Order: sequence, then C-alpha cells, then structure tokens
Amino acid sequence: MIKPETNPNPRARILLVDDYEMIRVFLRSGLAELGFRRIEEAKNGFEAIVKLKQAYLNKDPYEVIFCDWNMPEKSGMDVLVECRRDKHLQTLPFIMVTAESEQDKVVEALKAGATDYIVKPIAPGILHKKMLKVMFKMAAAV
Amino acid sequence: MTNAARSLQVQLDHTLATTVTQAVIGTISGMTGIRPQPGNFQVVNRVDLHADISGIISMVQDQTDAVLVVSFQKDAIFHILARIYQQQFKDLNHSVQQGVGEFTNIIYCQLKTELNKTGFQFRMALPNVVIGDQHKVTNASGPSLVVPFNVAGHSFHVVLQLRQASEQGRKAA
Repeated sequence: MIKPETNPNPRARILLVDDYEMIRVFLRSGLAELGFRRIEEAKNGFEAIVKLKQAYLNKDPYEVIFCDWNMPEKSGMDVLVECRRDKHLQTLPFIMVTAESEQDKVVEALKAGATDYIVKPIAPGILHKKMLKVMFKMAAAV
Repeated sequence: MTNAARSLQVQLDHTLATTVTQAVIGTISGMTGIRPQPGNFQVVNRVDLHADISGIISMVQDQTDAVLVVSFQKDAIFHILARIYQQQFKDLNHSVQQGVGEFTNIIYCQLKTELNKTGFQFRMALPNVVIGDQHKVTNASGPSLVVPFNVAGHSFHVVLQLRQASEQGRKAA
C-alpha cells in the first residue's frame, strides 16, 4: 500500500491528459493522496506532446503519463503512438484512461504500447493499484 | 454489420432499464461514492421533463439509432460534483458543464458495452451539453425509456430515445 509518508518517489513528475477537467481533478486528487507532489496537466493531445518533449529537453522528464483516449483532434491513441515512435519517450510508462471497456479496445491499446489501462469510472483503489505497479517497474529499472 | 445486429431492435423494457440504472449508479458511485436512488422506469410516447442542464449523446449503428439524454436539476449535479472538486458550486459554469458531459460519456460507454455484448454495434461518440434553467426535455417521435434518479433529495433523469433507421435512408446517406 502506498502511503504519502512511505511513497518512495513523491517527486516523480506525472502528466495527466484529459479534455475533461473533472477527470484531471479526480486523478490529481487521487495521486496527491498517495503522496505525489509534481502532478501537471494537459487539456489535449497536442499540449501533452509539447510538454513531454520539452520536459525531456529540460532534463526533467515526466515519469508517468495518464492519458484519456477519446479526445477530439489528437486522441490518446495518437499520443501513445507518437510517444512510442520517439526514442526519448519510448519507455515512458503510459496509462491509457478511457470509458471504453470492450476487450478489443483494451487489446488495441496494449498492442500499441500502453503500459496499462484504466476504465472510467475510476475507483480510487484501482488508481492506487496501477500506480503501485508502475512504481515497482520504475524501481526495477533503476 | 452482422445479420444478427441488423435484426436486433432495442427493446425499451425492464432489462434495458436495469442496464441503464447499473450504468448510472456504477458511474456516479464509482467516482464519488454517492449512490443515486433509481425510481420506477416508464416507457412513454411523449417525454415531458424539465431540467437545468442536460448531456446528450447520439448512439449510432447502422440500423437502429438511439439518443441518450442525462438531465439534471442543478442541485443534483452540484451535489455530485462537490464530492470530486471538494468545493460547492453555485452556477452552471464550465466545470459543471464539463462534468455533465463526462458523466454522460461514461454512462453511455457502460451502456454501449452491455448492449454490444448482445449483438449491437454502437460506436464511440462525443456528448453535447445543453444549459438553461428548467429547459424542457422532450422527444420528437418514437418511444422513450425514462429512468428517474434521486441524489440527496435532488433529481436527475436518463432518457433513452429510439429511432429505427430505414434501409433506404441509410443507402441514400
């Protein structure tokens, strides 16, 4: 269980991407409860890519991205594909967040390189579990 | 489009009302811990509701179109969103409008998943939101399923309207 006081990486930089403010607020609140302090937001896929690339150039890269799938103009899938094509973002833990729960959609996201998948509505326990998995992977990679 | 999907019609009945109810309760309680209380559903030829803010989403597949409307009295959506935002709302501002849109979207996706398991092929869609104190929610034609909900003494409704698309209409389009 991650508790704020025992979070091994509270300064991990996290990017939340969703065109709906309510979801960004919900995720931010859930992650803050787990002790994460560097949580930033993007309202669309274009903004997300700019932030991801700039962060890398500034030598302060994001360590996890939560990205909505169903966004107008540049979807979460477009963002994922672009990340996986970029040598600096290829291994970024990418959690697709979506209201789509049909099996073929889950498979499509994972085949495109998503690290994990969260279905809305997001239960707080699920967010916790997904972050724990990502943090274990990050710790193992060090 | 499979032959099975072509022959399916959306039945506005207890089973569908239960699916709608589960989608609504799953969505709102899952994200807020607030469990809306459903009322008795009705199938009506004429919808006659008043609401302050409504999310609308078209449910499109080749043969049967439907429209899902989630209509809130403002105090109902204020109460629900206060749990997520940890603040009280007084106006149907941008945050509230977005909240209604996203709830409509999530409810639709849950409904779509269950209906598609039975052979339908409803697709992803984007919601619209209509705002106006006590605006009237009604249907142009065709039967509608209406499921009322109550949350902390404030009401909201889900309306599922059905339109059977004609073979000729589809080919012409």
